[in-house]
Amino acid sequence: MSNRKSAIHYCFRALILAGFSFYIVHLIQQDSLNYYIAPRMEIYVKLTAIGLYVVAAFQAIRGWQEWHSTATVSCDCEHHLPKTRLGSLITYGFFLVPLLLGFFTPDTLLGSTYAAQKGMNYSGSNYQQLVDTPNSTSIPYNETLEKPQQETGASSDELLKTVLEDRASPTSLNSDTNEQPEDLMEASTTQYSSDPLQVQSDDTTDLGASSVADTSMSTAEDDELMKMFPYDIFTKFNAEHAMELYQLDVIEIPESTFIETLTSLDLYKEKFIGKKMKMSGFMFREELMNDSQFAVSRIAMACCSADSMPFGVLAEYGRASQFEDDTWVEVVGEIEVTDFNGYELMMLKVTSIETIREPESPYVYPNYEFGL
Amino acid sequence: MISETQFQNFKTIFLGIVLEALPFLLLGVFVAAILQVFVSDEAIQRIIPRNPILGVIVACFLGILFPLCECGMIPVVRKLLRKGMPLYIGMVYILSSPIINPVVFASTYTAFRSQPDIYWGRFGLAILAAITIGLVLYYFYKGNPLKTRDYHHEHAHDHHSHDPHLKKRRKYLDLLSHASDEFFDMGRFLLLGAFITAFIHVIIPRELLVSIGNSELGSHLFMMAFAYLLSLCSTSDAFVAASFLNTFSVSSLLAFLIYGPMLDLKNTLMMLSVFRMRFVVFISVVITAVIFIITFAYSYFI
Repeated sequence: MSNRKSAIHYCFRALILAGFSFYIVHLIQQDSLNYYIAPRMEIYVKLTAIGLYVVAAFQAIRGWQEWHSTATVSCDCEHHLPKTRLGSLITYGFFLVPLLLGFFTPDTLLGSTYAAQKGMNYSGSNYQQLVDTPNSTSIPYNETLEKPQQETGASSDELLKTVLEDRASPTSLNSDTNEQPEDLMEASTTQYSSDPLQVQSDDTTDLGASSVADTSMSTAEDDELMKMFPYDIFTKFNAEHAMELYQLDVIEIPESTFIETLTSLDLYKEKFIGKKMKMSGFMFREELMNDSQFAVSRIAMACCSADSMPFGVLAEYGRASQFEDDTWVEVVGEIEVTDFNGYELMMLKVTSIETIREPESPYVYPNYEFGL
Repeated sequence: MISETQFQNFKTIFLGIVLEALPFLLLGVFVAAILQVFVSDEAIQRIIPRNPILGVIVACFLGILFPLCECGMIPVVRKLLRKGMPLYIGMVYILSSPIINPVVFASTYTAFRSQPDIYWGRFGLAILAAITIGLVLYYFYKGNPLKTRDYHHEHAHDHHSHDPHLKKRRKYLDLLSHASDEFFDMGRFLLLGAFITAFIHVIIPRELLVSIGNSELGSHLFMMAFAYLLSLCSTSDAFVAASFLNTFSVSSLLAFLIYGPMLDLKNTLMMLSVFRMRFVVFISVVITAVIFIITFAYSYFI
């Protein structure tokens, strides 16, 4: 291939690569990277814009060298440059496709159509429980529990205590801020029994004297609370999370722990029956639902748009049909447990619903700090 | 025909895959360029033990030291093979590194918190699979796996790099421009893979999956085919697999989690840019058979 022709090829390549670089910059400027990439990956993509530009520059330099026949490559191989016009057209045309799509079509959100395609997850990240299974308080991993390993050899009570101390915070507990973690702790080895699925009766607890003035939560109540949320080593964080949520007047589902909150709630859904909950998401419907049912959902992205999964809560509202699919809404309602399509699911009996603007961050992401 | 929304979703997924993979492809070609310049052939041969069994075991864990996304691995391994790394070692590295690394462990753990049989199973079985495949390659594959044109080109290049007359600066410049060429060449395959994958993501309805999920044999094959077609990154496939907990058995989910990072549509295409068809077919068959047998056996004995 003549040097001039090679040169043209290299220039085309340089332009295409620069095009990708500019596309990324364009997305950054429009603040639309989040339509395609999860926040934790954004830094790599941003750096790539620079890298692509550098690569484009090298290709341009190469093109310049070829044009002026000053290329001093140590070999005269052609690096797979397409030989025919048609070959060139296909190769470069193909690179242009994503660029054209990216620049000239609007960025769109994955919504109901996508959720229908992938299937809605109604139980957070839990295994969806079938109706008519023995009431196992929804703990998914059934294992004979041994006493957890502890370096100091402290009792399981103390392990629990340290764990709860870490989790206790004034904002989440709906009680006096003088609340001492020790008060919550008094349930003894009943929690770490060999069968975590059975709620133990209150017979062995020695509540002990609490040196701190009693606050709104008495030790007997704390004991009750702990017994309501039995857990094993795998669901410990969800149990604590559920305990915190339980003590709130109105449970709100924050964006930052969307999946995790749904998971914790679903795990102990029977305990939350009658509790008030508020959440926002887009409306999703599937064929099996009746006119008053829908799901309040969000799409969760782990890495990039390709792995996005829809998560939602089944909801019921008499006048739901006046809202179209994909409408962003904020709903408040009461939690119930119901049978939907053979599965036992948490359901929200909606008492109020209002449309909202699409949130700044429409997708939600797994929270890697949950439980740490 | 597909609806407008489906087209929009296709576009969103296509661009998502491309944007996510580009950084790692770029990283891969530059790491390969660095290897070319700074690491001598002898160094490579010294690190890897001669004994094939020890060799594959070491290769399995190289991913912890040098993790790279699937997309970035192919140019690096090609360079390593050039430098004298034996084929079976290089392939074990390609196969195991997308799974045996801390990032993937963390994301698998996050998605399957209460299922240690899945997150440990993924690792244990992946190591077993990689070692088996490596040994099969060692004993059964003969000949040069790389595309011949490449081989001659690189060979000539290496000769020149020992030429004292060639200025060092020119050499670096050349190398970087070669890396750029490599990026462009492999990028084509990446785009093609992303395009097809995005199309599949948008077209396959979930009901189809559920109906196939029930038979013992069928579920493993199905999850493997699904992993192949979806071509997800190993750092995020755990979340997708988790959504199938209801419908598929643990061992078929393990098949999904191990097969996907080792062999999928996107990286088959990328392998074709570097390896000969004969090799790609051979390795694809071996990987598929080994993983199927291992996960199926797992479901029987555990």
